[in-house]
Order: sequence, then C-alpha cells, then structure tokens
Amino acid sequence: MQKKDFYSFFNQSKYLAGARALEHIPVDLKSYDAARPLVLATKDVTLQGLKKTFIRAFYDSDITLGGFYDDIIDTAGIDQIRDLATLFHDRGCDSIIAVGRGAVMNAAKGLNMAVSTGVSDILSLAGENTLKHPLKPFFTVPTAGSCGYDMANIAVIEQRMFKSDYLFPEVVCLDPRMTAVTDIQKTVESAFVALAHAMEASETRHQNPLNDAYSLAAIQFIHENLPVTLKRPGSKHAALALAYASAMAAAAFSNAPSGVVHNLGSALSQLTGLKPGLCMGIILPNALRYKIEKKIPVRDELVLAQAGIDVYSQTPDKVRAAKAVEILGGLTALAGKYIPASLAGLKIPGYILEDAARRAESEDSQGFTYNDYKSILTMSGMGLA
Amino acid sequence: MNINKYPEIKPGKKYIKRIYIAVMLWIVGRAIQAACRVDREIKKEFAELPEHFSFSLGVLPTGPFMIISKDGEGRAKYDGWKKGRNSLPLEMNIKNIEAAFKVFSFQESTSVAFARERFIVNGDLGYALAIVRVLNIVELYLLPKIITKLAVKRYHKWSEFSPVRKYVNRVLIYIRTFTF
Repeated sequence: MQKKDFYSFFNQSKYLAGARALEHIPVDLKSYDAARPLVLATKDVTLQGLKKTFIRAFYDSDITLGGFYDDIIDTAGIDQIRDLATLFHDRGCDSIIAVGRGAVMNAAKGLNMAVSTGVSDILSLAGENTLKHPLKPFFTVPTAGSCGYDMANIAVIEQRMFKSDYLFPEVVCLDPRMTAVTDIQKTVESAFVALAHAMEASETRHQNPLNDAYSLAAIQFIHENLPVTLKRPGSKHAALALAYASAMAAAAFSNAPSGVVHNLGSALSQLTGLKPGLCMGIILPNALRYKIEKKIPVRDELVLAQAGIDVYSQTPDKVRAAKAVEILGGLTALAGKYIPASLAGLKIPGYILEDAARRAESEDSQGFTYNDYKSILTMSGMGLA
Repeated sequence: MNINKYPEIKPGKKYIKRIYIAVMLWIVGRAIQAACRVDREIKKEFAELPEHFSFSLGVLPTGPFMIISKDGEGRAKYDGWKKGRNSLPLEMNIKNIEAAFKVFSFQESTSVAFARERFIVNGDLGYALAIVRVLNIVELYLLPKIITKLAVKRYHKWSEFSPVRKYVNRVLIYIRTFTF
C-alpha cells in the first residue's frame, strides 16, 4: 500500500445499521438536543407501507414528529423547499429526517440550508464550501435504490450542485426493513453509481488508506451482493449489503475528486434525462479499458476487492488491471437486463454526446481532456466522429 | 401548501411489550434479591460494591425500570420499578423498547446487546460489568438451559457450576422470588 505524506479525510456521519436500527433514531435525536423532527419522504415510501414501519419505530419515545411530508416527486425544486421551510417553522421543528432516495435527500439538504442559514434564496449558496456554519441535525433513512449521492456531502437542486462538509447527514440509518428491494431496476442503477464512485475514489492519485478502507470495501460488497440481488431480489441480506456499499462509496466519493465516469455519466444524465446509474454502468468498464490502453495506472487492489484473495494471488501483476476489467465485464453482463452493454441502442444525438464530453471536461480535475472523454464515449458504443 | 395535510404525529405506545418487559424486570429484580441471599458468588459481587450502592436497569425514555440497592447488611434489595428524580450511582438503560424486548425475550444476549450499543451506561463501567455477571448467574437459575444459552455469553460447565448447587439454589430462589 502506498504511503502518503499528507492526506485529509472527513466523514461526519454516524451509521446505525442492521436489525432494528430505526428504533435507535429517537435516542440519537436526543443526543443532538432535537425532539421535533420534520420528516420528508417520497410518495412511494407511503405506498410501500414504509411510513407505518418508520412511525412505529418512534413508539414509546418522547419524540413528536412535526409532520410527515410525503409529496416529494422526482426532483427537488426551490418552490417546494420554500413551502417546506414554512412547514418547518410553523411546526416548531428542530431537525430533519429524510426517508427514501434521490430527490428527497436533495430536498432535505436544501431545506436544511434554508432553515439553518436563513437565506431567502438558497441558490445563492450553490457551489463548493459556501456554507460557513453547521446546519440543523439531519438524519437520513435510505431505502432500496438509494445511490451514493444521498449520503454524501453534495446536493443537487434545480440542476445546481451544492458541496459542503456541512451537508453530510449526522446519522445514516440502514435498516433491513427499509432497504428491502422493491424496484430492481433502481437498485441495480444505484449499485452501479456506488461502484463507479468507489472505483474512482480508490484509483485516484489522491488515494489514501482511509479512502481505501471505504472504497475497496464498497467494491467488495457490490461484487458479492449484486449477483445475489439479481438472482433473488427478495434477499434482505443482500439488499442491506448494497445499502452499506452505497454508504461506504458515498464516504469515499466525498473525499476524492470526481473521476471520469462520474463526470461523463452525470453530464450525459443531465443532458439526456437518462438515469445516472444507467450511464455510469455503461461507461465504467469502458473508462477502465481506456485507462489501460493509455497506460494510466489502474490499481491492483481492485481485483482483490472484486474477487478475493485467491483470484488476486493467482493473477500475475501485469494482468491484474485487465483482470479487473474482465471481472467488471462479468458483473455488467449479469446485470445486462437492466444496464445495456453499450449506449448505442439509446440513440443519443451526436451533438449531445459532444456537449456531454465538453461538460465532463469542464468538471475534470485530473487532467483528462475533451478528446479523452470523446474516446471513452466512442468505446462505450457512441460512434463519435 | 396546505400544511394541515401533514399533521404532526405523536407516536403511540407498545403496551403489550411494555407489560412483558415490566413483568420480566419485576421477576429479575426479585430474583436478584433472592439470589443474593442464596448464592455465594452473587453475595460476593454485592459485598464488593460500595456502601449505599444502587442501580437501575430499564428502558428509555420512560421505563419500565428495575431499581436494586444494597442494604445495610450488604445484600441486594429490590426497590421497585419507579425511578426517583435523583440519578443513581449506576444506571443501565436500554435505548428503546424493541431493543429491550430483544434482550428480555432472549433473542439477544446481554453481552451482544452491549456490543450492538443497545445499552447506555451512566456510572462506573466496572460496577456495570459486576451487575452483568450477576444477571448472567440469575438467568442461569431462573431459566432452563436451552433458553439460558441464548441469554448468556457462555454457559457454565459442570465443573464451574455444580448441578446440585444449581438445582437446590434454583428452588430456593424461586420460592423467595414469588413469596414475600
């Protein structure tokens, strides 16, 4: 393992994970001097009966829920966040709990910025490290298909990125009753987002032992448990393990610069409306292959995390990178029903692809150029000229 | 936005589980008092605790609790289920009713529950461990082997805990627990 002269790593979240984890939330809320949380959730949380499970976890506690707002749809909007801030103040709430995935987490982070900073237009806080003070206690209860963004230090509101260490949730609660798979497509997509983030966090030049601990463990969990979930979507054990992997990948991703797959996948997703997990799932093996072709170092330890010590030790040093691509290819082939092998069939116009490559280059901090991004898209089956 | 659509929610209570745990705490509390008069090991544990020592074991935030104190003769005394306003030298609280139910229905042993952070201990950790040892012995007396194995970290071997001692003391403890 490479020794670093200096590195920093920050992860604020406490993780409550496993059987009856939800029931621990009241005590943890009290430890933040909070007793009246506003709960935000997506509609499917209520439809799947998870609202009842969640509320029952507060029985026999001295916590009163200021409200259970379950009307969050696909994206977090500024008007909705203003309404939520009104609800928060009217009910005298002192903390926020977000239940679900995606938009609800962004809305909760936006609400927290609004009620904690008091600014009338939170879009003025867009960007990196614009928050100067800690926010109100923020707990998350991810459900199945919750991707790495949810537990990370970023929020996306009205297509604008907010990044600050104060956006980390104070507590992440991973309970098997909440993470059980209900939509296999979303679960697979979120697993590939987590895998892309973990792989990129582990292989950057900014790698460090702490980031390795999170990212390599996330890779291992996904490679071990995604095939199980694909075979038996009802497996609560595998679904919970994927949720752990997302949480670990989020911690690693928050402490590493964004990589090529993230940049390209996010750009394509924003421009086409496709899900980020779908884009990243297709791009990931091709980006790795591209790096090998360009002789950009790919870490040996990927194979160790993907396939275990036996395969790692049986694979000669020089071919471990290629082996990592092969193993990853095997995983994407298994998930082929949900993640296509190439972007070719998605019929994305050429100018959008060029825009995506340009946008990814503008987000890049690792020296990849427009041509690199274009080449990766070509390898992913885009057929750019 | 119509905020009345999202009313505030006051969570209810799990009465059956509360009653079950209250009964279990009453039995265990009375059994500790009885066992302290019968078993030499428990007697020794209490003798080593400081004068006027008392502790509570219960469920946050509102109970039920079990209060045990050390009387003038150095023996355990069951002081009921209501905690006063003053804090006790040792308070062992289980974080929530579900965690307590897991412990008292023997789905999770005390040591596993500690390891999973289901307990909050206020006070000297050494005393807490002494009480956990006492609880383990009391469970050994109160419960059949098949259940005790689930509740304790390690079931005593014959050489450590003779069957004669176990069965004779068990009868005495049961008599003392359920009679006044």
